[in-house]
Amino acid sequence: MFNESTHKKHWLFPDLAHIDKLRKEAYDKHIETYTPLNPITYEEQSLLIRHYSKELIKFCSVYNPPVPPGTIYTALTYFNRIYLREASIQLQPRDMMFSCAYLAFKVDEYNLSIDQFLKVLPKEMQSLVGHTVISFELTVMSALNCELAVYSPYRPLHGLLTDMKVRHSEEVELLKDKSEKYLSLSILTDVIFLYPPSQIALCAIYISCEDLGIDIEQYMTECLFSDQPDGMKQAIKIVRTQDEILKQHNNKYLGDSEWKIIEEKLGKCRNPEFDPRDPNFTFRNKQI
Amino acid sequence: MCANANPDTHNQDYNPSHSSSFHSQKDSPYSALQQYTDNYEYPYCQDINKYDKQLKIGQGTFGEVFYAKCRRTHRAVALKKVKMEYEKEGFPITALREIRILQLLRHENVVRLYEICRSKSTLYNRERGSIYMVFEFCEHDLAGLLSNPEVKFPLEEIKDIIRQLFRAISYLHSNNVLHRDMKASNIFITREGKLKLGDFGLARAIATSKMQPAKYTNRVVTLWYRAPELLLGDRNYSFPIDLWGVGCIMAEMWIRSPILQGTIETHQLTLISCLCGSINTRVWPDVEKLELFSKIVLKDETRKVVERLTPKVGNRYAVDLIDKLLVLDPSKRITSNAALEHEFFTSEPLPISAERTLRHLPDNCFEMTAPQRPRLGVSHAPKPRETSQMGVSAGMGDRLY
Repeated sequence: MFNESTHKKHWLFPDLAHIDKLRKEAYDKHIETYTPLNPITYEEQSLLIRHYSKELIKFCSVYNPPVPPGTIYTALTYFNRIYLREASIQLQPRDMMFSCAYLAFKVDEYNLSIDQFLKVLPKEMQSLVGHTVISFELTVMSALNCELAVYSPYRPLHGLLTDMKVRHSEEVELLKDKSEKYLSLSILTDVIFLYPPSQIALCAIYISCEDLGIDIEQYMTECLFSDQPDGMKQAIKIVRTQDEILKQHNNKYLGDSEWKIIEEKLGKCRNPEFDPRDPNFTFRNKQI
Repeated sequence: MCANANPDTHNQDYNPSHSSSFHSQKDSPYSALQQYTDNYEYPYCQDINKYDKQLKIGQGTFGEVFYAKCRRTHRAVALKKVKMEYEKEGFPITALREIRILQLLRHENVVRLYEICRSKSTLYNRERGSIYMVFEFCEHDLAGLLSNPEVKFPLEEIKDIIRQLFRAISYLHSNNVLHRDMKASNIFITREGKLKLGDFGLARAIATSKMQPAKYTNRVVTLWYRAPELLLGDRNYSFPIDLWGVGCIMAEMWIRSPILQGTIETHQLTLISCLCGSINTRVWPDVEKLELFSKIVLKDETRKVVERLTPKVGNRYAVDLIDKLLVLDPSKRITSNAALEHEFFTSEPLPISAERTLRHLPDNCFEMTAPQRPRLGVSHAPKPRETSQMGVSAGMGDRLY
């Protein structure tokens, strides 16, 4: 199924440079069409998107009963896909964070009414966020090309762990916690645009095994790649590359004071037609 | 969306969101230009103006359905407009489910969703833009065909149609999807006799882990096709609800109109027990766990499925299969995979495509455009009702289609 999906066809790219180029092009396109005085730079935008990716996970985690990790992954994927095509001066990361969460909850059957969705927010924010989420919905869907089906790495993760337990009598309880923790960090990086979910899951397990001193290579050669002599070598290479991306990524989060400065700068340069507080906003978004 | 729109070309990789991909090879040679445009990546949803709306053919749960042609390729499609007015909750979850589920499914007996288009509102109208779902076009729907006295399916063609229906259901169920709106008007049939199950507006993926009982809404499925467990308030139902619907549809192939036309839920239950026998713990042990079982009083009835259907249906294997589908206890109802193994399909006459019968039909036998069956005149024409926790039911109209 994954092989025929839009996820594979339209949202996986050959390398990091390719992804960066898409983002940069989207940024340039919007800066050219709407030229603010003191625009947010591309680097600042990247930092802000990164910050809000993390924030999105935090936001989704306050609901009870807990939002399933696969649903959070869908929201996160939507959020990051948007900025391959759009720029923050149009679609502000903060607005998109709420919009993507609401859309993902609906798509992945985490049933909430809009009022229940807003309830976790401070009272004074609720009506503006509600207005934002509903009015941006079609814009967001359009930016995603309505390709709403996302394959999360959590399913292959649990599949692999079960397989290890059943076919290789591996003790997986500790490994499960550790891998899930690793996954929660790696999905914040661009690996989601580089590798299919099964490989992202394998990486989480492989690295966690290393940390716990579990020999996973025997399982891999015997159960996963028994008929592909080259498979093992390739898999390890993919795992290493992913792990390297995560290591690089981890040093680039913003402190509290830093992101607020960028957010403020963005507030001043954003396109008012896309600002839910602006009177022109509603009409613009009705046109999609 | 994610798809090769023309299964004949074996061109698995081209970009689906482009109109030329609707081009049928039969209409024109597959030129180099065509190949180029097929492979071209278009960003964003396309504008609906690439299609020429020609005729309104239906009224769905959440919007109108049109027959349209791609302006460039002349490929026929069905456009389903997603109704957006009065949606407090934003884009209807039923439409999101349909989009997502159809993006995840691909089967020759499940209607293909080619892509999603949008319309822009102009400066001069104050309307909101809308989203359209673009489907493969099928010439007929089963309800329309059955209401047309000119259409007479011989037994071997009925077998082929029913077998395709079971294949569709079996595929859905193996992917953990419930259709939840089985009825003759949601079954489309092409001129070539290919069956396509459609309208996934009420479909949903169901939880596979049985950690805790599910709490799905039981306000689903058009009343006449609604399974007894739903009518008794079950919220942890599963695949058998679709198979009850198939049983009703299968009988309808001979009776030519819906077999259990209740007016309200209790009347529907009365009709069911008249045909299928009393609902009690002897035939259905778990029924006492259902919320409404203790609250209803039904007369003692004997089961008359075989007795009543034999004179109309004739074929004993057909009657036997219907008998196994219209079983009150969902846990004893036949599954789609078991049904595909049934002797009905392996006994003489063997299934043959309905193409022969359909080829000579001049007009589209859609229920909406066809002469109305008497049942449509009644004021209580049933509608599927879903009031999920999301409250998306606002603005749902009666569906005739």
